[in-house]
Amino acid sequence: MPVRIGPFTMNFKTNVNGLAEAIHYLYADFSIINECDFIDYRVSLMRAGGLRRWIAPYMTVVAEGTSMFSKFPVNAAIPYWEWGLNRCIARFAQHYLILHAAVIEKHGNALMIVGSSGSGKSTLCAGLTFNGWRLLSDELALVSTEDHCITALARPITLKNESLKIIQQLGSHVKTGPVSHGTVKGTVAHVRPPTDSVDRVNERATPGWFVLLSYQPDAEIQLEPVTKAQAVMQIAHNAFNYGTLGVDGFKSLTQVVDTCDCYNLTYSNLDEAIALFNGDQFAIKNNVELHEAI
Amino acid sequence: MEFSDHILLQVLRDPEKMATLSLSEWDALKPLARSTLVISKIAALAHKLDLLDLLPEQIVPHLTSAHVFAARHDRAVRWEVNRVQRALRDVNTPIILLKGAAYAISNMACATGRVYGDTDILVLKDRLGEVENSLTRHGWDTDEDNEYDERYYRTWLHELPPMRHRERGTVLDVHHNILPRIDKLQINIQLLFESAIPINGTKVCVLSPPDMVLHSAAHLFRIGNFDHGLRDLADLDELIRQFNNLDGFWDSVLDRAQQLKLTLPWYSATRYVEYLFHTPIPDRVKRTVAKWAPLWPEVPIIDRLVKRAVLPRKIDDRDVRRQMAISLLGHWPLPRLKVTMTGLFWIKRMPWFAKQEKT
Amino acid sequence: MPDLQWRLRNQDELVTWRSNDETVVYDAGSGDTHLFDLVAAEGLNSLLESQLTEQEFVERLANRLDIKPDEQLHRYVGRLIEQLEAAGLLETADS
Repeated sequence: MPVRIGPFTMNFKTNVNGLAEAIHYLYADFSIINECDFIDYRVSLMRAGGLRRWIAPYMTVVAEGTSMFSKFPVNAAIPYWEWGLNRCIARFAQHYLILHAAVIEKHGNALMIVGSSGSGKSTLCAGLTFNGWRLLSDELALVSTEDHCITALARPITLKNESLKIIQQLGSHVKTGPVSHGTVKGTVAHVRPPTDSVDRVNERATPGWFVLLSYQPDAEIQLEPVTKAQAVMQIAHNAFNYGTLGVDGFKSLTQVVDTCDCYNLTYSNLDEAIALFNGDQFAIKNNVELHEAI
Repeated sequence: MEFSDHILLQVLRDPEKMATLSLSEWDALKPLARSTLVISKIAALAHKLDLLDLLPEQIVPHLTSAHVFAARHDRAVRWEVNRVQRALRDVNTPIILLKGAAYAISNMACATGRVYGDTDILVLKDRLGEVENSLTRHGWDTDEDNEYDERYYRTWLHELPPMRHRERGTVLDVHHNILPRIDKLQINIQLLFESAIPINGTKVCVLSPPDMVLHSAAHLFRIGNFDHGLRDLADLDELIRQFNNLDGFWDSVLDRAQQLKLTLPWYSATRYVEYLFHTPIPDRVKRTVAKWAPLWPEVPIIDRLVKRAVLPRKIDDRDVRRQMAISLLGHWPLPRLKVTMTGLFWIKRMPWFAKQEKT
Repeated sequence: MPDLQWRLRNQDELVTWRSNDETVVYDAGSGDTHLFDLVAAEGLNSLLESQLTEQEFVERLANRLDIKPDEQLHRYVGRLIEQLEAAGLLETADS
C-alpha cells in the first residue's frame, strides 16, 4: 500500500492482521497513492513462517531489503513498526541532518524538544500538539542542510506507560491506537496525529527554539537559558546522523542553533508546561513565510 | 535472461548506463543495491562521472544519502587505524591491515563508495596476549555478551573474540592467520608478513597485491563468507583491474596460490568475478586456473549457489533460499564437523540466548 | 617528560565555531566535537602557532591570558595536555 508520508513515498507491507488494522487507523488521514513509479522506502513487518509460527515465534522489520529489527516478540508489532519506520528514515534519509527531537510549530517557527528516552519529550510534544501547536514529528527533526528549515512527517506520536494516561486525559478528541503491553519499553501506544497536522505536512518550519528537556517527578517547572555552545554539544550527542554528515553536519548544526533561542527545561506537570509554551515567551519569534517541502 | 545481464550488474560494470535507466528501473534497483551494500558505490560513480543531473530527480536524494553514509565510513575506518596504531605503539609486532581497512588506507579504487564493518588486522601470534592487553588499556573490550561466544572465538576461530571500543562502539577483529584455526589447511603466515608492504607515513602494512587478491578469494571461497558476496566480488574485480598492469602480477598470483594451497578458492574467485563483472583475465592464466576446478561439489552446483547468494530475489521478506545458499557456501569448503561436535556450538544457538534488540 | 614537543595532530582538520566565551571545535579526523571554555580555547590557539614543550605551553598561555605562569597554571596545562592527547587532538612531535 503506497502512502505519502511528508516528503517520502512509502510502501507498507505486513502479514500481521492486527498491525494492518492499526496502520489504517493511525494513518487514516494520510494520502494513499494509487499509481506510483517510484517508492522511496519499502517497509515490511512480517511474522516468521513455517515451524517458527508456533515454536519461539518472532517477527522482523525489513526496510529497503535491510533488516531494521531482526527478531522481536509477536506481541509488539505496532511499536516495532513505528520504531522500524524511525530507523528506516534515520538510516536512509541522510540527505537531511536528522536530530533526535520532537518538533512542533506555531506561526511558522519550530520548537524543537530534545531529550533522551524517559525525559518527557513525547508527552510534552503530544500535550502541545493538542493545545494550539502543529505536529511535525515526535522523534525525528529533518533539517535541510541547505536552508535549515524543518520538514514535517506528522506521524503518530509514540507514548509509553504513564504518559499515555496523561495525554488521554486531554480529551476525547485525542485518539489512540491499540496498546501493547510488556514491550522492552513497557506499555506503548500511539496517538493519531491531528488531521490539521497531516493536511499541512508539506509546510516546513523555520527553526525558532531548542528546549533541552529533563523530566523530574514532582519538580517545579524551570526554564533557564543555556549557551548556544552548550546547546550544540547536547544536540550533537542527541542527533541521529550529526556524526555521519561530518563537517557539513557541524556547520549546519551550529548555524541552526545560532538562529535559535536555547533553554534547559525541567518539568513534572504537563499543564504548567503547556501554559508556559502558550505564553508570551514563545509567541512569534520571527515573521516567516511557510515554505513548501523539498 | 542470463543472470549476469541483471540490471544491477550492468550498472556496476558500465556506470554510464545509469543515465539511461527509467524511473521504474531505478525503483527496482534501489532496494537491491541497498541490501547488497553497493548503493554507495553506485552513488560514488554517479558523482565521479558527473551523471547526477541526468538522473530522475527522485533517485538523487537516495544517492546523496548513500554517498554521505560512505564518506562517514571512510573517515571512521581511517580514524580507527590511527587509534589502533596509537594503542599498539609499544607492542613489537607488525600490523597488517586486511580487507576494507587496507583498501581505504592505500586509497585503492575499490575503497571509493565502500561501506565498512569491522576493522581487521593481522598480528604475530606470539604477541596476541600483549596486543589484547594494550587494546584493553586503550578502551577496547571483548564484544561477546556471554562466555560461550567468547570461548567459541578463542577456541575455534581467530583467537581473539571481536573487540569493541567502549566509546566509539567500533569493532576490531584481531587475526593471527587469514584462515581460522578449524581449517585443516594452515597458511604459512610468515610468508605474508615477509611480503607485506608498509604504508608511508604510518606504522601499518598491507598485503602484497598477490596476497591481497588471494586473501579476498580465500575469504569468499575457503572461509565461505558470502554475507556480502556481491560487494566482495566487486572489490576483487577492482583489485584485479588495478593490479593487472603490474609487472609479473599474474605469475606471482599463480605461484602464490600454489604455494599457499589456495588454488581452489582462486579458481572459484576468478570464475565468478569474470562472470559477474567481465574482469579481464589473460587467457594463459585462465588455462592454468581451469586445472584447479573442484571435482566435487560440481561446478554447476556452486554456480547456482553463488547466483542465489549474491542477489536477493525478495525485498520485503526474508529470502530463505538466499540465506540457505549463503549458508551452504559457508559450510562446503570448510570442515565444520569438528566444531559441530562440541556442546558449545549448539548452546550458543539456543533461542533463549538471543539478544534483545535495542530500540 | 618535560622536553617532549607537543603539536596538534592535524590542524587542517579542525573547524571552530565561537559563541560568546565558548568555542566548539569539530575534528574532521576523529569525527568528535569538543567544547572549549575561554582558557582552554587560548590553549588551543597557543598550539596553532607552533609545537611546544609543556614548559613553553605554560609560558605562552600565561602570556595570552596576561597572567603569571604559576603552579596552578602548570597543573592546568598538564591536565589539558592529557585531555587533548586522549581526545586525539594532540600528539608528540615524534609520533
